[in-house]
Amino acid sequence: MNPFFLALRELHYRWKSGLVFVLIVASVTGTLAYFSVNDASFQKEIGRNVRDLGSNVVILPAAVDQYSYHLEGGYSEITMDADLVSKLIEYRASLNHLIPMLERRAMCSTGDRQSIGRVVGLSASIAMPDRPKAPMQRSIPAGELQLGSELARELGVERDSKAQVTIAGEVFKVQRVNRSSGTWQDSAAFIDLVSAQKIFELPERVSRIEAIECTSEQCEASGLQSSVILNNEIEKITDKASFLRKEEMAEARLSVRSVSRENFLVLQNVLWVFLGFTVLGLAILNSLSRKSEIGVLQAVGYGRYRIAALFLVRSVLLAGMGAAVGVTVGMLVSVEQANDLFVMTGQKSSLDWSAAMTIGGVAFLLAVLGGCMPALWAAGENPADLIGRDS
Amino acid sequence: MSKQAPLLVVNDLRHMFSNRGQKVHVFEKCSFEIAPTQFVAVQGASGSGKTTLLLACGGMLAPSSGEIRFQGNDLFTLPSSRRTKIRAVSIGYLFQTLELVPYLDLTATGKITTLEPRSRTFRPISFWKLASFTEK
Repeated sequence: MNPFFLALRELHYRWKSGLVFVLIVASVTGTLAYFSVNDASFQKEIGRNVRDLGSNVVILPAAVDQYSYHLEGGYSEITMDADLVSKLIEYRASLNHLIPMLERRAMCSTGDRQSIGRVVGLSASIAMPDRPKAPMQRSIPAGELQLGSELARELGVERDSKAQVTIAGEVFKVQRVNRSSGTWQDSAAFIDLVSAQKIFELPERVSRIEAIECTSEQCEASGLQSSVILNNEIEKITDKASFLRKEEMAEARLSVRSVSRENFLVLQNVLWVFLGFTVLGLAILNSLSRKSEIGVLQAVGYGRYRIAALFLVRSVLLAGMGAAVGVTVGMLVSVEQANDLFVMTGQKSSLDWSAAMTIGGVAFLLAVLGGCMPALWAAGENPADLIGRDS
Repeated sequence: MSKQAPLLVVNDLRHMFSNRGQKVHVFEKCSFEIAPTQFVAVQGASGSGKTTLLLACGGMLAPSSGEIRFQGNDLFTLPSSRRTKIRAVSIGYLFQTLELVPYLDLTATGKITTLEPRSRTFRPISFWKLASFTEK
């Protein structure tokens, strides 16, 4: 009789133990699948949160005295060539989300009120070509402006009003009033970079470039600190700019990502080991508890490879069913829960087919090993040594 | 009338096993021959080695020393696959503990190896009037 049909008969006869096997494998693979999808969603959410912390690197004109710059609350009227952005991109500097800015303190006025504000022209964040990212800063349409909450209060502009603000003779429609950030941005007005260059008569000039560093891989490879790597890069690109690194923010950004990643890796490794023990253990237990049956099968002329095939078919069928059920349920539950768990990015959560294939593949290989090896070993014994010897 | 070649030749068979560090000799210098169609019974006291002898003759237990020739083949110098084939085709064995594969009925047990022609499977079933048990 074909080992496949014999395995089916055995499964039909011992359906309860088969069901327990399937449920246990489904539980472990389901947990692995759940956390695979959950981790991807979690990383997206953390990435979004970290991104929203803002830039951690500022590139300034070399002529800026950093003492005066900080004394003025992070403000300087010295400018540099805007083409530094192109140079940074061309060099593939260890930066991303580049935002060139030009700013001036300027009079902002509505119909009957006026106040000095920090007028900042900025472009949408620019991603490095080989490091595509969702934009950190979206562009502000020409002719529109975003107001900081305190400046809006000074100008008497309400949150949802359709006011207009005049700056250096140019009229801008208020796109929105930003929520209070507790920083200088509350007294700023944001317009697009080209408009700022035009009204301040500084074409192709910028005050600074804000960015997020991407030095972690190079730090690992070279053992150098981020600040050293960035300094070396900027020195090679231009002598007309210097950079300042917001140390605490940069470290916090790296720390949050690496801690969450390491934490998940620990959990994932534990689950992999558990999956290994489960599938191998169940399959080995099944072989050992059926020594006598192996002996009888041998005695009536069933060869060792056919006996191994019988156990192999059983293990693969059950592990396959368990993995299919577990991975499907685990991933669907994870995707469903992501909507509630991850407020900003949960909607983007999706099934991870690569993880599904990996988990299913590992479960399959473990089932092959667990089913085949002990059965081959037992089938190499004398039938008389096995009959009546179930473990 | 020429003498028929023996079906089973047991020559100087000896078997022992270890029990709590002690070597127990089950039987020694056991030799006999059985011809085709000959009907032989083995008689002995409990523990004298009857089951061990039959398991060895059935190709299911390797003896400590000696030779068992079945149809001219030395059973325990053959590869285990050949021995398995001989058990499937030429040897019938009813275990003392009535061991069966629990999920197979008599018919399925008989057909478990594809080596066995279907007609031969049913021969003992009809001979022993076991047809009513074949689906149980």
